[in-house]
Order: sequence, then C-alpha cells, then structure tokens
Amino acid sequence: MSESNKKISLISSEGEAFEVSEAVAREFEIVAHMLEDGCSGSSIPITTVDSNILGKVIEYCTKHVEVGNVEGNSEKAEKDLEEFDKRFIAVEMNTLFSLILAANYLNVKGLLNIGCQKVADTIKDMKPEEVRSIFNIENDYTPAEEEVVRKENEWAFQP
Amino acid sequence: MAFSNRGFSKFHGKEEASGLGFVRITRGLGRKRILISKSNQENVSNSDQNLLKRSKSETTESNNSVLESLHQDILIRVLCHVDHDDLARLKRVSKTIRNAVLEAKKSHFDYSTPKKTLSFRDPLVTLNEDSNSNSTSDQDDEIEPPNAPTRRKNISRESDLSKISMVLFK
Repeated sequence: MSESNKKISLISSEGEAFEVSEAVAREFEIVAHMLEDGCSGSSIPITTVDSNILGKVIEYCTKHVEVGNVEGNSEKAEKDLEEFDKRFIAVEMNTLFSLILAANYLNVKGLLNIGCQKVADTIKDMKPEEVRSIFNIENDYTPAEEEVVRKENEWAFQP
Repeated sequence: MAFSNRGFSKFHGKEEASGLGFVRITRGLGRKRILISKSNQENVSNSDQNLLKRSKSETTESNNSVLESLHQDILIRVLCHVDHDDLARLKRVSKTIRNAVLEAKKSHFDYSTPKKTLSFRDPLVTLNEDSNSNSTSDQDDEIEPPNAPTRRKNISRESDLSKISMVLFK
C-alpha cells in the first residue's frame, strides 16, 4: 500500500473541499471505481452531497479505515467500532435520512446498513397511525381499501 | 413515546426551512426508480403517481413526508431490517409503504427465518430487560414448562456421539 499516502480532495455540493487519504476515499465505492478507471484527477466533485453530510460520511470512513488497519486485538476494536457506530448514528431523523441517501449514492455499505437499521428500529414497534404522524405521511387509503389490507392479516389478530 | 413525538415534529419544521437540497437529491433518484420496478405493472403506475405527487410537493414545499421521499429501494432496504411481525402493521401506513413492504417480502423476508418471539410477554418489558442486563433475560428464556419430562443432559449426549464417531472412522 505505497499509494495510501496519496491525498484526494472530495468536493461537496457547496464547493468545499475535503482532503482525505486515498484509503479513506476508497471506502466510497463510487470513488474507488473512479480511481480504478483512472478517469479522475486528485479532486473529485460529489455534487449531490452537502458539506455537513459529506463531512460526517468522511468521519465515519476515516474511523473504519483506522480500525481496519490496526492488527490484533480485534475483539476490542470491534466493540469500539460498534460503540462508535451507535454514537455516530444517533442523530436527528433529518440528518439520518440525508446520511442514508449519501451512503446510498456513494455506496458506503456499512453506513447504509447502520442507517437503515436505525430507521427500522424506529418504526418497528409503532402503530400505523404513529408512523404516519411522525413521518408526516398522508393516509392515502380509502376506508374500504384500508379494510382490505387489514383483512389480509386478520388471522394474526384472532385469539 | 410522547417525547420522541415531540422531537420529530420539531425537526419537521426545520426540514421545511432547509429541505431544498434534500428534495433535489430524491428527484434524481426517483427517475431511476421507474426502471427498477418496470416488471410490475401496478408498481409502475403507482410510482408514476408518486413522482407526480412529489413534484407537486416540491413546488409547494408544504407536505412532503420524510419516509416516503426516500427512493423505493432505500425504503425496501430499511424495511428489510424490521422483523416479520412488524410488516403487517407497516403495510397499513400508506400505499407507498405497502408496495415497498411487498417488494421487501419478495426479496428478503421470504428467505429469512422469523426471530423467536416470546408470545406471553410484553415486548416492551423484554426490551427493557435486554437493555438493562442480558443475563436476566437469558435466565428467563431457560424457564422450563411445568410437568415437562426430564431432559437428558446435553453434555452426556455429546460425549456419547463422539464415541460413536470414533468407532465409525477408525
């Protein structure tokens, strides 16, 4: 890994440049592909992600690259990383959704996974009405349609 | 629950103020979505409607919902992380979510085993116990039913088996 010292700047939608090492940039699969194809210079514009979110994603990748580089004592490192993920993803929903979109676009698998898990955990034990009110979803079922959907699973509620 | 409700409604207000960048991203992704779900006629017409609805809400910026503004395959990804039991409830939220649930079922839930649920315990209590300490919930799982026939100890059975394998492969 002689080239891992190379710096690459990622440019957010606001035009702000983030300088990261190549190893970190390669965590973004989309960037890794660009680098492999050799179709990019040392600066890569990421036009769909703003500075705030891009900064966060880079923070996440940097941490994961750091931990991945340390050999041995893997159990503790893994626990550390889990703890980090948990703290990292404990943000308000708006940011969380932006992070998921960014992770999806940049193809950062780990981040996408923990993001989706977090949202799933949030909606998991909620009643449909609660999910609607929290996420501002309109109930686009007519009463008749709703009855049909409810009937699909009626057996589950019978004693 | 009341607490988290308040938290979310606060962020809705914020989102309306600064939601422009967020929505623009989804539109780019939303176009891709039609190609993906082409196999299903109903889906196509549905996502078309959603696209229309979304572009309308883009102009008004009034009632766009966060969860539904996600690209469908991200929504499916999210749904793949919930449990089997939650699907039925989530289906009733809205048509978009229902379609996503059905897709998630086809691609993920049909191939995964439901988690073991303890039917006679309040799920909230279980959650609390899990977060408090793992040891107590482990013990609870091990409670034996009354009048059950005595089980043979696993350990002795294992040693029996190992003897057999010795004989077989000598």
